[in-house]
Amino acid sequence: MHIIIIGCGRVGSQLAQILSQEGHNIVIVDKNPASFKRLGPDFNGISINGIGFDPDILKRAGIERADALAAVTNGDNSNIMASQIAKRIYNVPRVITRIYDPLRADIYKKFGLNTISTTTIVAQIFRSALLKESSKLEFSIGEDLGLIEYKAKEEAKPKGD
Amino acid sequence: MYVLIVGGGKVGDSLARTLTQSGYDVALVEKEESFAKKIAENLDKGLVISGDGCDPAKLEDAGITRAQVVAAVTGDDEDNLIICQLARDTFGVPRVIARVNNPRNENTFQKLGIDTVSSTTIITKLIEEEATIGDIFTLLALKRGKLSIIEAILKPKTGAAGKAIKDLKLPPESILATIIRGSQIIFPRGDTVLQADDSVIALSTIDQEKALREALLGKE
Repeated sequence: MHIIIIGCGRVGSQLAQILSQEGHNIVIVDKNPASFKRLGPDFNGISINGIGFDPDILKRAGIERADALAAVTNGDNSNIMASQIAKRIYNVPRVITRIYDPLRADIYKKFGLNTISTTTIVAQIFRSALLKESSKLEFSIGEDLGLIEYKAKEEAKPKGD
Repeated sequence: MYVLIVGGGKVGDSLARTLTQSGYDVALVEKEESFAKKIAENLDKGLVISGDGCDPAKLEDAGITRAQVVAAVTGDDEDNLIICQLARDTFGVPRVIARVNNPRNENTFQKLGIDTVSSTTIITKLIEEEATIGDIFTLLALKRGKLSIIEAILKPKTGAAGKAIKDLKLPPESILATIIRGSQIIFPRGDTVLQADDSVIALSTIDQEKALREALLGKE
C-alpha cells in the first residue's frame, strides 16, 4: 500500500517504521526536517519537508494514488485540515486523524472523519490501571473498529459450570 | 446584527473597530491574553474574550449560537478552516468567512465550501491589473477582486469613439454603466454614440478586462 503519514513525531515516526518494515510504501511529511532523525537508518521510505496540508506537498507525496493517510502531527487543526483534503478532495480510501481534543474528535467523527482521540484512550488506560478494578476498557478506533477489555472475575463464571 | 470575530491580530482588531463603529454587535475571541486585553481597552463596546477560538466551549461563551456572521481571521489557515466549519456545521451560523493567509490554501477552502478572503490575492490582482492595463482605472474591486468597476477615457479616432454602443464588440461578462461627458451624465442605450474624451464607467470580470479595453480603446 502507498501510505502517507503527516507528522514525524514519536507516533508518526514509529508508525512509519512499522509500516515500512511490513513492506508498505511510506511517504512521511513534517515541517521540521530535524524530526526525520527519529526514523532511524533502516527506514526506506520517502521523507518530505513541508506543511502537511499544503496541496503542493501532498501532491509530491503522491496523494492522488495514496491508499491511506494518517495525520498525526501535534496540531489538531492541521490534522483535521490535511485529512479533509485527503478524504474529500482526493478521495483517499482510508484516512485516520489523530485529535488530542476529545470534543473536537467527536465533532469531526460526526462530520465523517475517522478520528482517534489519544487523550481519551490514554486516560481510560490510566484509569483502569490505577483502580485495578475488573476493568472495562472501551474505545472506538475509527468507525468500524473498537476495543473492549474485560477482566474476568471468579463470580463472573457462567452458571452451571 | 451579531458578528463574531476570531483572531485579534491587526485584521481582527481593525475589523472589530470598523464593525462596532458601523453599529454592529461584535464579539472577538483572541488566544493571546495580552492582545485580547489591548483590544478590549481600545474597543468602545462589544465583548472581548481571551481563549482558543477553535474550542467550541469558548465559541459558545462568545455567543456563537446567536451570531449571524463568523469571521475567522487568525494568522493560521488551519485554525480559520476549523473555526468556520465548527461555526457553520456545529452551531448553524448562516454566514462564515475565513481569512486565507497563504493563497495556496484558497483552493482547499473553496473545495471544502468555505468562503475566503485573501488580502494577498486581492493585492496581487490589483497590482497585476495596474501593470497590464494602464489606461483603464479600477475604481472598485468587487467579489474579492474577481469583478471590478472600471473607468476608461476614450481617445480620438480609435476604439469606441464615434461608434454606437450596439456596434461595439463588448465581451459578454461586461456592461457599460454610465458615460460622463463633461458635466453631463449619460445612461447608455444601444444607440448612444460615444465620443472622444468620454469617460466610460463599466463593470467587468477581471478575465474580460483586456477584451473590454480593446473594445473601448482599440488595440495597442
